[in-house]
Amino acid sequence: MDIRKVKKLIELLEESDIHEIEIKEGEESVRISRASSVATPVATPPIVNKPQPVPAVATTVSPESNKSHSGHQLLSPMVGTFYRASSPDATNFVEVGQNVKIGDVLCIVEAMKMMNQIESDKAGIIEAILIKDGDVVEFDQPLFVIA
Amino acid sequence: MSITPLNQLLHLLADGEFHSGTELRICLGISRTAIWKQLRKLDKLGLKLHRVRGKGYRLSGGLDLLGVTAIRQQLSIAVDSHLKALQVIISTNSTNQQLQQQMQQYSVHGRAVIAELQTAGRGRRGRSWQAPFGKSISLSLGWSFAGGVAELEGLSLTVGLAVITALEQLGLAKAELKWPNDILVEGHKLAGILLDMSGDAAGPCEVVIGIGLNVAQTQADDLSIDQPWISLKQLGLLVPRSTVAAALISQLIVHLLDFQKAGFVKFQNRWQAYHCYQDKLISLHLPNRIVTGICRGVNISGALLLQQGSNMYTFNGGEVSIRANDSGMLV
Repeated sequence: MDIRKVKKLIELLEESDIHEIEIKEGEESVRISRASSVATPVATPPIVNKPQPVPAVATTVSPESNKSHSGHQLLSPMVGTFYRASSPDATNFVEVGQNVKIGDVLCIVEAMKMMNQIESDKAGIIEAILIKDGDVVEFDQPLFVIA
Repeated sequence: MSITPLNQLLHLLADGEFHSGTELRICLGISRTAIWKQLRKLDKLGLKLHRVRGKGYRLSGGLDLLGVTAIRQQLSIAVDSHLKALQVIISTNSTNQQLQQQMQQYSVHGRAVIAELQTAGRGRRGRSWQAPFGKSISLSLGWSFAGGVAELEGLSLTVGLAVITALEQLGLAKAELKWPNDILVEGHKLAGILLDMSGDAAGPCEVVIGIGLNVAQTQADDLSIDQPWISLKQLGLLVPRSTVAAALISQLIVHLLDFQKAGFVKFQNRWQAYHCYQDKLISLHLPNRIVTGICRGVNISGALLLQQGSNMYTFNGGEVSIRANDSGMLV
């Protein structure tokens, strides 16, 4: 990740009253937290970038801890495949940092050829997108963090 | 269909006979230049106009156009009372999208849209669903559900069963279902279904049910479709498209009303009776792996059941294909 981008993020954090910010770009992710007096970028492994084991039986795969995010978590209302756009060549519904309103479509979860448009249940800024396009999601698995 | 010059022109030329320029002008009540403009629109719809000096214009083979009245007349009073609106449009990008746009303004519950030509019909994940003008059914119906996605389990499969039932009503007995809801005849795709849900995932939501059915396409239509397909015509079933549309709408509404009362559990056994891979060795292609096992149908949520040895697994996604080596051996 570009160091200038990281610097910009630190400035952004300092100017605002955001407690913590995490940005993911492909395989890389960076989390900047105010917890310590010095805001240092900490490289963390991507949260849900590994292939999700597809549970054969209806076991609930509990997502890896997202407790580092202070924001509100939008949970998947169903089991299905997570898509960030309406079709492979369409632009994504949302990106990290984008402002969303209640009712805005954030993603599609497909289950058995039913494309379910998942709407935001909170107004705010998309702080993190926790699932990779095309991955399988479980019932109640966190999809987005909205701050 | 609203009365536009293009509409009138299509209905005049639907008989496949020659019509002179003068006749067209008188019938449509528009100028020669305006007629030419309308005739050019036929090209854009992909129709091949046959022009012969001294005789006029014709569409070889004629057209089997959809008619709102023709469709409505074939519905029972009970079904008709649930169909709040029926719109036949000449050309649209996608009938599902048409209803989704209408949804921005009002509820689309009980509203249906059918198109003579669908230019950007969608399959799963942007796969296109090709159909030339006037030869297939591109139908979408909106329906409301009060209880959110939990109430919708198995809906996708129920719609497949509704299509199968409509086809039986039309005289086609050998259609089968491929999970979750493809309609096949001897391994060739006859119809496809895609549902779009919007609204509150935990509360009131609206579903747009889209059906694409091959009616009169033949190999001569030269469609670029990446899988084996078949049409009703190729199966020897020559039925007016309005009759096909009426059968689909009727069975959809009947099945939706039943589904709302009882859920998928009511349809589970019937679904499995039409399931082409029932008790066969199949592969299920998931985003990150392929699993193989004996397909044991579906559970009450519509999820696929796969048996490996003495274990039974359920799946909510993936693409099913038959194993070429159908020996019953587990791989």
